[in-house]
Amino acid sequence: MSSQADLVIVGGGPAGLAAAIAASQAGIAAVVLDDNEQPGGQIFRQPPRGFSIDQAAGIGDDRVRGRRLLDEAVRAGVAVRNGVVVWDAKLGALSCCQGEEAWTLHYRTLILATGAYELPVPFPGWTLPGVFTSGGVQSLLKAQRIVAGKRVLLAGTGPLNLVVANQLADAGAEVLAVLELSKPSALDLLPMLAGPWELLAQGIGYVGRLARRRIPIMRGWTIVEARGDEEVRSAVIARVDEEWRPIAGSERMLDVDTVCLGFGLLPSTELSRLIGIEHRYAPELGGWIPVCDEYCETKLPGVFVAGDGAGIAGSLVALEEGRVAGLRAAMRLGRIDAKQFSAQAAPSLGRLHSLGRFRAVLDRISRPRPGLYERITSETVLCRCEEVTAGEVRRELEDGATSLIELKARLRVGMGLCQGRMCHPTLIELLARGTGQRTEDVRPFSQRPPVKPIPVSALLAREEAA
Amino acid sequence: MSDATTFDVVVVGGGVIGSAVAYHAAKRGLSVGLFDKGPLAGGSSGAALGFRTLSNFFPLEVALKNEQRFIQFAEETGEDIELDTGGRINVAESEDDLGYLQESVAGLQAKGVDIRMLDRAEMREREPNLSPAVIGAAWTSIGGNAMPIKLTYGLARAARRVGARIFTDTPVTGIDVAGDRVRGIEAGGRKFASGWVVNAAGAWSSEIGKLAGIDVPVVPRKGQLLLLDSPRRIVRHSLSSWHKPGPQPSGGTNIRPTPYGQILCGSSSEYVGFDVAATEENARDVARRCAEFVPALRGLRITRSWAGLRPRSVDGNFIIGRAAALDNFLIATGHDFTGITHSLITGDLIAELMAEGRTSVSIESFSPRRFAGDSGSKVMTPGESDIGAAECFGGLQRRRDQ
Repeated sequence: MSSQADLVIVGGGPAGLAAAIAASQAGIAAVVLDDNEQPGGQIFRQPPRGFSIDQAAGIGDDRVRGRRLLDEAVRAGVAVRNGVVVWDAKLGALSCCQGEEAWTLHYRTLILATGAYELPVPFPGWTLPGVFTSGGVQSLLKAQRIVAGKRVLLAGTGPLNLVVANQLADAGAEVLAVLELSKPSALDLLPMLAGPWELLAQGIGYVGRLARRRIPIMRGWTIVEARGDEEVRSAVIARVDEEWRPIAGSERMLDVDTVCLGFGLLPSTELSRLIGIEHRYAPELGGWIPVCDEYCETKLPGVFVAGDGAGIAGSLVALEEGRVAGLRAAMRLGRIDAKQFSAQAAPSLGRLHSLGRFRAVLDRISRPRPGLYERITSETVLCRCEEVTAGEVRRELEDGATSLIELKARLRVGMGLCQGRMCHPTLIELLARGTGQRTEDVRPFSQRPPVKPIPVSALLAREEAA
Repeated sequence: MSDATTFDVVVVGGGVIGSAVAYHAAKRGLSVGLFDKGPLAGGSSGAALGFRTLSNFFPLEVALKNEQRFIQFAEETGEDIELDTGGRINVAESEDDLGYLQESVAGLQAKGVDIRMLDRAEMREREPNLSPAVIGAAWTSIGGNAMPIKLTYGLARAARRVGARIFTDTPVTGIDVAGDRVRGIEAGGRKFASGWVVNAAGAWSSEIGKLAGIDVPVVPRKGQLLLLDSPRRIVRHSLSSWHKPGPQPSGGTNIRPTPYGQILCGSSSEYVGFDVAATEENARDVARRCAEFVPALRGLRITRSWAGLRPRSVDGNFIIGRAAALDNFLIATGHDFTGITHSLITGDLIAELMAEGRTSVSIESFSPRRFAGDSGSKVMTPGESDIGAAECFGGLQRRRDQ
């Protein structure tokens, strides 16, 4: 079983849908694959990091905006295949799996719009029940209408926590505070005045709503420990310095039953790495990101990257990048010429330019600082699948380990079902510190297929069908 | 650590063989520098199943003592190599193979080896998930597993503790030859003088040989593995197919349970140069053959698949010993899919050769000099085809008689 398509788009979030719509308008019926069960991908559930995120100005509900995008996709004749896991990617072909079915999908052009996942940042107690990621809590709220707790503390950096704090308060939770690591100065914010006004207004809107509810935003504070026996009962919080290092003696204790952690997002680069796209290290965009030109095209001919998977930038950027990539793919397929491309992509390219300036400010404010990983004690679990502590990792480093593969071999870190997604960023940081390397010089884990576990039966069913 | 640029021994290749050479040489008091272009276990040793079998390269009395080397290494060094001495099950895939298996078992039994055919009831008892369609299997208490990456790192660490220096991400770019001797190497932009140079570069040993002007007839044979997540203990022992010597379409059917709720499955066999991309076709082929042995594997999930390059010599035999034209350039390669089994013994014999000028176990039949056209040495072969390898060599080299 194999099939063929002119354009395949992996990911049915804002970037993927926008790409499909643009391509469709240029006369190309793209195949859109998404591993979620619901149409629309993550758009309702996974807001990116920028103010560009979640709720466009004046709408106030990303559900509405997502619905609009989906409706537009339907009108454009875009069909999203949900529940499809793309587990291997090569130039010209993808390996797909859906339930008990597996097939090869050949493509002429490919847009990877794979989105992002939340950056895990370990500290003592982070594995206690009651400690969530902010995105996870938001997902529970939105998808299941579940309020994660009654007395909630949010900690981390970036606007997602502000959004979730408001949503939790709307849903009836008592939100004690939002701890924000960074302390932006007025000077930092100045260039924002040149940025999109609606985003600024939106950001101020979140802050204003929190102020009206008397929920403090504690800038320059963070959580250093979650305490409790069976589940989280209290949180130790502390002031941080400019490098986000906790200041000794500033600790305070809060009684909580829920902690939400929002430290930013990581691009999902599994497929872009597998297929062989060159990546560069850009900590302000989430770490290793695929290299592409201004039209989202990589150095592999006909292969594009768009949205958070190409560097964390939020859904507004994702929409515009998706559109540019969709049009560029149409040009590569010969459906539109270079002139038509320029004309049709111009509005999106213009918006990307102005969004970019705004983002640069956020990037500067939220760029991860060294202190982020200095709350980790010896007992802190880093690899949750294999239950490996920071102490074990540090012992291996003291004993001469110099590479991730060595840590993996010795400790089984990254060998579990999450395939290293949880521990990878922290291990790289600890290894860099332990060996005096720069973060970007640490060789990441090799990317292997399948990028998500697939059933043996599906792989074999395919052969029987063939 | 000193910033030494002079060693008694330079070992090229940080796989399980090179690391074993480094460990044994350093243990004998030689100063050792181990070099690899990537990390340790970055090649074949990082993509091996970890089987330890009864060697058919060495005389039986030597092969039977091989197990003890692993036990001793783990005890001496305290290194955890996930050593499993629990024995193995060999499975016949066809009537032809069954006949050969029975014959082999009878032959080994006659020599006093603890191996026997299993009847149906015993098969079910030892391995309840083994397919009822399996036509025959043998049990032996000899052999088991070691985790290849841990073994490599364990050897390298133990080597370091007795003074060896390890240079990873340091490609060897030149070998300094003067007359019939090597004088040292160039690696990572620096020169290192050395009394001996050991080529333990596995699938890359041909490339390293060329730096010294030596032809090492080894090609990379690609083998792909699957890692399955197995929360239930579906398989208890290492299982592998037993083949009649001669052409084989696959890299054997091998299943190894790990102590961590996972199952390793292998392997494919291809001659495609240095390409190590895992392919869907290979994954399916390996999964299909393994599921024929153990149908319950169909209910598991594949979490990872990757391939490595086995160093396959033109005649299927090891290439161990002094290079034909260079007295102090030693070669330790050609281990194909038996590198874990033969890691410690190879390291020990090479170290012995350097320290004492001779080996306690004959390595004459592995001599690189057999390719110089002057040897009458007996060519021993593992139970696998070298058709593909012979094709790779363009038919220029001699081919094993089928």
